[in-house]
Amino acid sequence: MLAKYLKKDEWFGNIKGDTLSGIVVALALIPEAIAFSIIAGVDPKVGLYASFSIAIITAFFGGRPGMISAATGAMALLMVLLVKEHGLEYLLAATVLTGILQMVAGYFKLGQLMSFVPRAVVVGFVNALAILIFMAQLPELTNVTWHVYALTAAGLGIIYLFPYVPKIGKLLPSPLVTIVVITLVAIFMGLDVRTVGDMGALPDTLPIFLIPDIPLNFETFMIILPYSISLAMVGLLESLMTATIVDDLTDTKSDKNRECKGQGIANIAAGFTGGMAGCAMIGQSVINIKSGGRGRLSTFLAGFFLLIMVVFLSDIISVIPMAALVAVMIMVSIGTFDWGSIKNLKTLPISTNVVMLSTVVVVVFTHNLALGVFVGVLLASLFFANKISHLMYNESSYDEVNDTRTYRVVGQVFFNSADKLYDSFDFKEVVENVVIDLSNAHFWDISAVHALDKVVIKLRRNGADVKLIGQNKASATIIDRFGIHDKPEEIKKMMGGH
Amino acid sequence: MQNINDINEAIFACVDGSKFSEAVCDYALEIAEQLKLPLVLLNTIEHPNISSITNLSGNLILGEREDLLEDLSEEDAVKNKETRTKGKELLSSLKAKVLTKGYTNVITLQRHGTLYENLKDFEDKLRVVLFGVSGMGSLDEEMEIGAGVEDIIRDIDAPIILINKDYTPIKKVMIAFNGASGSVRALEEVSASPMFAKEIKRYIVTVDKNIQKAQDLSHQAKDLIQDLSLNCEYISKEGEALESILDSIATNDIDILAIGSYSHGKIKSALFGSFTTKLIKNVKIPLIVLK
Repeated sequence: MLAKYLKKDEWFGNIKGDTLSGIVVALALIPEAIAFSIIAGVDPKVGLYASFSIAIITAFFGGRPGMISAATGAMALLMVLLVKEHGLEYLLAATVLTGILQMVAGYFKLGQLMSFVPRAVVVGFVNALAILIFMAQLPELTNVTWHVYALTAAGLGIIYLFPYVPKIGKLLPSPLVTIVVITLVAIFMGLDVRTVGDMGALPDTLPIFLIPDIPLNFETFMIILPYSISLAMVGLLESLMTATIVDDLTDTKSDKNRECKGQGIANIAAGFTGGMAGCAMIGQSVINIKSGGRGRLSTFLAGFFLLIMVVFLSDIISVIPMAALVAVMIMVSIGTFDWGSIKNLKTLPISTNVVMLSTVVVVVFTHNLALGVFVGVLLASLFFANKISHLMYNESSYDEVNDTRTYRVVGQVFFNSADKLYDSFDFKEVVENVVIDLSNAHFWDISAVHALDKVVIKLRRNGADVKLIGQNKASATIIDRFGIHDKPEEIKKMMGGH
Repeated sequence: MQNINDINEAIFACVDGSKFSEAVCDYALEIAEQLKLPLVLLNTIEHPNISSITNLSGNLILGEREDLLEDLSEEDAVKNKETRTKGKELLSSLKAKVLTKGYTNVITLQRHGTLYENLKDFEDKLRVVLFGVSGMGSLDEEMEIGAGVEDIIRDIDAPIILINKDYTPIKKVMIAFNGASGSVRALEEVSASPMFAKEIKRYIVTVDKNIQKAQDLSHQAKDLIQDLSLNCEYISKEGEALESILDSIATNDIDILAIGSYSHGKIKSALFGSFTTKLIKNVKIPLIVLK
C-alpha cells in the first residue's frame, strides 16, 4: 500500500503498461512530428528532433506523469511566418526564448492564470485546433491524382476498422498498420505519389548540441520576441489544458507550475538540438492513457523509441506516402475534436456557445490560437459582467409626513450596472428630502462611485436634501485588496446584507 | 458517535487490511489507554493509478475522450466500491474488538487518497500515528520500505510507530540515543510523556566508535531524565550503531525501540542510504520514530 507514494512509483509503478503505451505513442508520434514540421515549413527532422527532446525532458521535469509532449500543430502554426521570412535558425532561437519565457512563467506561478480561461474557451481552443490540423492536411489533398484520395480513404478505413479485427485488433496500433499497408501498396503498385522523403531531410544522426546561428543582437531579439511570446502562451495553455484532461482521465493530480517549468526546459533543449518549439499533445496523451500508460516511463520511452526508430529506420520512413500520414492526421483531428461540445450546443446557454464559437472562428481565420483565447476570454468576461449587472435593484418608499423619498440600493454596482443605477432614480419627482440607503449595495469600482455622485448632484440641483447612509459598507469592496476579507464569515457577512 | 472534527488530539491507527492491521490496532489501543486519548481507526482508500483496460489500437474516434473517461470512471467505481466495503468491514471488526476490550473512546474513519495525504490533512490532530510496514501486496518476509514511509517519517510531526509483528504487551522499551534533536524527543516521549506506563523498564543505549563518546552521550541522556525517577538501564557500546542496537535488543529481550529520524537531507540519504531506513529494514520489533 505504501509503495504507492513512491516518487519512484511515478517512474516504475506501471512498467508493463508504460512500455507498451510508450511504443504505441512513439509510433503515432512519427507521422505527427513529420506532419507538423511540414506545417511549420521546415524539414521533418526538425519536428522529429523536437519531439524526441521534448518527450524525454518532460518525462523528467514535467508536472504531469503520463502526459505526452512533443512537436505540435498548435505551435507549428505560429511559426510559419517566422520560418518563411527569417529561416530555420531564427526558429531555433525563438524556441529557446520560448522555453525561457515558459520557465519564468513557471517560477512566477502563472499557471494559476488558467483559472481565468473559462471552459467554453478551452473547448473552443480544442475544436479550433482540431479544425486547423485538418485544414493543414488539405494541401496534400489538392491538385493530386485520384490515387492519393484512394490511399487516404483506405488508410482511414484501416485506422477505424482494424481495431474490430478479433484478437490482434487491440494489440497492434491501427495507425501503424495503416502506414505499413499503404506504404506497401504504393510500392508494389508503383504509384507515383508524394512520400515523406520528398518533404525534406530526415534525421540521420542522434541529435547534437548546437547554438542557433544567428546574429546575437537586439534586432534579432525583437524579431523573435513576438513569436516567442505567442509560442510560450499557446504552449502553456495547451499543456495545462492537456494536463487537466489527463488529471480527469486518471483521477490524479498534477503540479501545474512544475509543468510550466518542465515545458520551458524542454523547449530550451529542443532549440539547442535543432528542434522546433512544442508542447503537450491532447491526442497523443489520450492515446497514451488509453494504451495503459500512466507513469513518467511512458513519456520517456515514447521519446526514446521515436529516436531509435527514426534514426535507424530513416530509409524506410522516407518511402511512406504522404497519403498515409494524412489519414493518420485526419484521425488525430477527429480525436482532438470535443464532440460533446457539439452535442450540447442546443442545451448550453447562448453566451457560452458564442464564446466557444468565437474562439474557433478567430483561430481558424488568424491561425493564431493565442488570439482566439484572448478573444474568448474577453467575450466571456463581458458576458459575465453583464450577468452580474442584473444582480442589482433599487427600491424606494415615500414618507408623506416628512416628504422624504428613501431609495434602497441592493446588489452589485460596477461599470456595467452604473448607468442602470443612475436610471433607477426618479429625478422628475418633487420631494423635500431624499435618503439613499447603500448598506446593502457593493460598489466595485470608480464607475459606480461616479454614477452615485451624478445622482446626488442631480437631486441636489432639483432642490432636495440628499442624505447617504451605509456608504462605508458599500464602498468596502472598492478596495482592491478585497482578498484580505477572503474568509467564509466575511463573505457571508458581505453577501447576506452585512 | 464522535466526529473527527470535534477531536483535538488522538491516536491514529492506520489499517489497510494487511497482515499487521490487527497488531496496529492492538498497539494503538494500549497507547490510547495509556494517554487517555481517543483512538481513531483510519482506513484510506488509495486509488490505483493503473488500469486493467489496455487498448493498444492507438486510434482516436470521435468523442474518444468522453468515452475513455466513462470507461475509466466505471472501472474505478467498481474497484473503489469493493475496497470501500472491505475497509468498512475491517474497521467495524476492529472497532468491535476495541469495544469488547472495554475502550469506548474509539471512532472509525474512512478516507480517499494516500495515507500520507490524509495524515497531512489531520496533522494538527495527530498525537501518535501507527501503521504496519509491510504492504498488503508483499507476502514475502522482506519488509517493504517505500519512500512513502520515508515521506511520512520525514514530514509528519508526530511520533510514528511502525508495526512489523503481531502484538505482544510492552514490558521493555529501548531508546537509541545519539544526542540529535530527534533522539532527544524520542527520549522525552517515551519517558516524560506517559506513552508507556511508569513501571515498565527503559533501556537507553548509546553507541559510538569511541567508547568514551558513547559514555558521554549516556550521561547526557541521564541528565535529561533522571528527575523522573524511572526504572532505567544505561548501555554504552563501542562499535557500529546498527549491529550494536540490534544486539542490545536481542540480549535484553526488548519489546519496542525508539529512535530519532532522518537527520540528513533527502539527497544524501538517497545516495548513501539512511540509517533510519536500514534500521527499519533490520529491526524485528516495533519502532517509534521521532523527528
